[in-house]
Amino acid sequence: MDDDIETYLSYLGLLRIIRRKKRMATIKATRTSIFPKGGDTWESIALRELPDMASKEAISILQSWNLHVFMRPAAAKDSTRAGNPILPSDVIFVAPPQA
Amino acid sequence: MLDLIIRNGTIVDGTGMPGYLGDVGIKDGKIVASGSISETASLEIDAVGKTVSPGFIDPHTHFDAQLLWDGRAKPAIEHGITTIVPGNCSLSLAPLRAKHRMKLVGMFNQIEEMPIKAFEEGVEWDWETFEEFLTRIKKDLTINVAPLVGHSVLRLWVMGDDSMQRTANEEELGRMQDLLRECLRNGAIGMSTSFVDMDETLQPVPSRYADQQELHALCEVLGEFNRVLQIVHEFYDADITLARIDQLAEISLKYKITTTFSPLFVNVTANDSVNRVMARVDEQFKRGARVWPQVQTRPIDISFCFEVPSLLFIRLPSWYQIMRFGSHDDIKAAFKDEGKRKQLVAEAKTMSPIWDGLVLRQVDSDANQHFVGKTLAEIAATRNTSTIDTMIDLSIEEDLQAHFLSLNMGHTDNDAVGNLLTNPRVHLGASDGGAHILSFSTYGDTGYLFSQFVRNCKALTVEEAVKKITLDTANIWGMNNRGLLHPGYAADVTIFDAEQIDRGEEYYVQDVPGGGSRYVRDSVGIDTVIIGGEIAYRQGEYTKSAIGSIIPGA
Ligand SMILES: [Zn+2]
Repeated sequence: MDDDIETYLSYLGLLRIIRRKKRMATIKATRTSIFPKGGDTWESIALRELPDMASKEAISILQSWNLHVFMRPAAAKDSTRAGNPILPSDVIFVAPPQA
Repeated sequence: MLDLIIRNGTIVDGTGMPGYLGDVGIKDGKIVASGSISETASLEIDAVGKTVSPGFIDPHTHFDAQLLWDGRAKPAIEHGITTIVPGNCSLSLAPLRAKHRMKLVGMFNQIEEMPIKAFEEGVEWDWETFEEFLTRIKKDLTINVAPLVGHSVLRLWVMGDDSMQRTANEEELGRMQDLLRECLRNGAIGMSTSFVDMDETLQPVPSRYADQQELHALCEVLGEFNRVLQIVHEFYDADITLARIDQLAEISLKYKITTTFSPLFVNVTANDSVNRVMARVDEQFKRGARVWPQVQTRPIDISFCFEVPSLLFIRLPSWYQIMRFGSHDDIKAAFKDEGKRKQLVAEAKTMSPIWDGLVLRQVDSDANQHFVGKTLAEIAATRNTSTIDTMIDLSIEEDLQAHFLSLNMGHTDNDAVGNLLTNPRVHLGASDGGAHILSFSTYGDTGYLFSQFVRNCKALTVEEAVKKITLDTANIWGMNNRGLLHPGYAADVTIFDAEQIDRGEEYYVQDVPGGGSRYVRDSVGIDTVIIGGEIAYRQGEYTKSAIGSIIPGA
């Protein structure tokens, strides 16, 4: 009986440790995103993040996942970013929305 | 002998503990006693039947410009607010080189709807550094100010025009860090940044050209001083908000700093998004991160007339284009031109349900007075035309001075908002005080907290509500010795009638330098406001004696 209680208590203690470890280490996965590197374009992000996909397809899928960037008015013509709406501070999703 | 004693009020001390009957004694700008005070004072205030609480703190304001001509940040004080945090959303008025003044004015005009004329006529530009700016506003300061320094202006100072072109190099990063250090040393409570705002040419503000390395370099400096990072994020999208929460959490854990993001709204059509955001906030707090969502109390109402660009039209490019870039005559001409008008009407139809419910709130002519207070749908019915045409016709008839009000545009579900406000991980306050002066009144959210969420919905007790806007706010921001009515704390005190406190009706007033106007609200049920031990406001009158402090102070 005493043994049982001891086992039970250590089991409880163990459970507590496991629980604490779990709490510290894991955090629920959310939709995967990246921050652009300097000078990143749709193409360079597609190449890096979706390497298994054909470039054209990867670009258009990236754009569809990131309408908040894709639909943004492009930079002024005289800007160094001309033709590229991506800003260094943007969140760029590299996965579809979670179901 | 004390300086001031508040007698026989119900003391709600900021801790959230039940209020109790007693006196509060003040000497040399500090609370020195509470409970039963047998001493006397040179001034005694009778607070029978009133609630005595720490002064309210408004953590999200844009009073930066107003402080240059109005050290009381009117009408903040009469709503019980004793401390404001200006400089949010990446914009502050310092540090700022003389040559960049008009650039920043453009940004303030675009983002905060502060008229350019107010800067031209209300502002004597006699500062460049953060320290000089604080010296300048301290000349006539009644309210306490805990100023943020804007990331966009740090960038503008160091990088000039390139701040809106590219990422910073190593040398520029170092200079930005040094500049931030100087601001923090001189009394900045933290730094603000923006991931969404645009300048007057509709290009991203400088902070949006910063990469991760830059944000981290600056947050490392915030860590050296134990100060706060505030961001405005892509609040319209839950997935992006979650990514920002994770980004802030990493920063908070790495540099051991407090971070806060604003705004978080309850969206009726996507109610689940608030739950997802709060679940993520909970997860990150459990890891030890500090990522405070800022939630405002008031529902979103937008008022507008066609004299000035309105937020309401930001998704209607043809409308926004003429309101933003057209002159008074251009706008009227567009309304009168058959082809142009057709295009405008067609575009407005994409937001159809909104127009029917618009209320005509103010006109100049006698002929249209009888329509004031009616919805556009009601007016259109009597005029035998469409609601959009009615809006255009009234604007032409009133020489663009027809004011419309769009009520309850969001954040309207009182049960959901009340529930959110009670969450211990929600930071109450995203008033935007002093900003958007042409779209809605950003004053009175604290009164609304009590009238709506304490008395009406009963989501919070008076004690809980007071704690939210006093001690909690002071703790989140690291404002030492503020937010409690305990001995040793700064004597910032608000005396109010808990059964009456509320925000008054919104009205349009011309009190901005350069002949500008804004929407404001008076307060209801606020008796006395004490700042630093001196009376700043009592029974409808402002006094001259109170002197505001800079927090955390140089
Ligand atoms: Zn703001």
